[in-house]
Amino acid sequence: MSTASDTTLVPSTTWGASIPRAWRRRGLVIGGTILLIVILMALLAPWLSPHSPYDQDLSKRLIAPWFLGGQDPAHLLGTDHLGRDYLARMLYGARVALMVGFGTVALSAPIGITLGLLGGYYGRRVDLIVMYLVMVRLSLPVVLVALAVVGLIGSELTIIMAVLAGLLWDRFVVVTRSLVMQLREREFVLAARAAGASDFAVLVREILPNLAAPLTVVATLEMANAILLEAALSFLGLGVKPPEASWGLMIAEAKDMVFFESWLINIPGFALFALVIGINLFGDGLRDALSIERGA
Amino acid sequence: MAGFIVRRGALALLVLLTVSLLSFGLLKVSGDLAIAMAGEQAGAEYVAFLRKQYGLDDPLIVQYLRWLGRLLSGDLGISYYFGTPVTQVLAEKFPITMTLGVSALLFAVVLSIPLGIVAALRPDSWIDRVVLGVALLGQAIPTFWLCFLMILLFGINFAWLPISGSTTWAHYVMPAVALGYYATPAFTRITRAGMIEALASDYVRTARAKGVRRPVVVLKHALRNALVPVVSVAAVQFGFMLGGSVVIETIFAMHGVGYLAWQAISQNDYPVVQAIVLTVASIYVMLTLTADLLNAAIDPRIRIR
Repeated sequence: MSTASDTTLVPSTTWGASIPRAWRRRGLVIGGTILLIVILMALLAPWLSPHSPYDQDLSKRLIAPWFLGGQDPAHLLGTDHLGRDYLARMLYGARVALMVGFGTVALSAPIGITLGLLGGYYGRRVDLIVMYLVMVRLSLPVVLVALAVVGLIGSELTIIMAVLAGLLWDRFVVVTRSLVMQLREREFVLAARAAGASDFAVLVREILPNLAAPLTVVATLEMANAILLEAALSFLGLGVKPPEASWGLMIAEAKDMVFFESWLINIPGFALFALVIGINLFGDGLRDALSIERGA
Repeated sequence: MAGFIVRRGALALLVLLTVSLLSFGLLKVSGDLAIAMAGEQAGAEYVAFLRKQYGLDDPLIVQYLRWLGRLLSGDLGISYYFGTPVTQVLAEKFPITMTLGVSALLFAVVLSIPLGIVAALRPDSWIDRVVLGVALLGQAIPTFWLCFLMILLFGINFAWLPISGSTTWAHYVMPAVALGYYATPAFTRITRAGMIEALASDYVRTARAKGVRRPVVVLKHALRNALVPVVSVAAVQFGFMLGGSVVIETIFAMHGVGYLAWQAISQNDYPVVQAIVLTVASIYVMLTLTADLLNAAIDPRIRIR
């Protein structure tokens, strides 16, 4: 395979031994906390905010959030240009972000892992086909293709997830494939094969469990990727459609007010940033926790 | 070496053909070309005439081969919206995106190579951890938020830089930084890893033993070897940047290929969309092919695999 792509496809949040162990555990805790907060925000949205994310009140437009001296205790994060409660919109936006993140990976991971298992285990011609598929996928510009396809067939959340999943499986393949290549000649695999286990049983029962830790990192990485891409699509007006709430869409709706009410952009922008950082930290931490458990 | 070139070249060609097939599919799925050409009000007879005229009744494989033949002679069709050849529309916008991509690449390299070197000199130190932090931020900050933060700070607050358009070099500063910053983690990481390996190698120890001073060893002996994989990453990242400039071009109102793509998708101008996808993909394939061949020429071990 091409060396050019190999070098960049290794899960890139990994810095190997460069972070001391205590720091990594801190990463797991901080990342997990951020992720948990966002998940709770999304789940408890109707109880956390008394307002609906869609209700407009033009007499209460552009109220500042509390930290900028907003005077309305009913709107902690203020209101947008249509008088909609910004906290409610943030909470429902969290739902979209998490759904896209989890949904995309749930769809893309099986594709990528299956291809990686096949290529790594059977090698030769099968592997050639798998690597050819990866090269085709890598040559397609993600943002452009996602925009073009979503623009063509529609922007329902399920379509966005399917399109993103169709574009974000390549890292799963590369990581799975290279690990399977290392594992397939190991004693426990040979032993299972000698005992008469089928290829399928060897792959699923012997090899796959050993891939949990590295694949966790890929999964978190792609989840963060999918969330940022959905935000970008919605920002460009081709993703989640108004009046729904998505953090990317909220930034798009506020972009004309960037000079006067920049908090309208900074709140969803910071939320996206924090969520992505949280997911990345959590993934790295989880990988280490898993590999310690396995004694690797 | 000849065998490697042939094999690698054949693979690149196959990938290009597949991408062309996908682009053709995108165009076909986007709707009836005859109706798009005739316009909404045209009669059924005229549409049927156009369909026959342009061979849209032929089997798909015939249509694909004809389309491919025209593509190879440089004919990418006519834009529905502009009414001019797609190649002409693209040629007008490409210089802006290329300039943006090259400046972004330069920014990323200039920022991350020193960072990678500094981190590699003292792995695990606080400075290494700061570099790690910068790399982590690069991955997590949403591009469009970074754009707005820069607009607020440098465009409005200090009023140092123009915030929209692409007429002077100053217009390119913020977009290039925003586009390039996303690529810095990859560059920093690969430089750092390469430097750590090179600094631990025998030739560096020999050079030190001969009495060559440390800065010279680091910059001359070690860095030169560590930079080999950076070339590959640069090829890959440049391809990503061309495709990823959509968001940045729309925010800064730079009328390059990214902005054109966004416009064309919104207006259902799929001949243009398909041409952009095809062009960006082809550039990516050619760049990675070149980088692989370059690497094989430098490092004979790659050829054998």
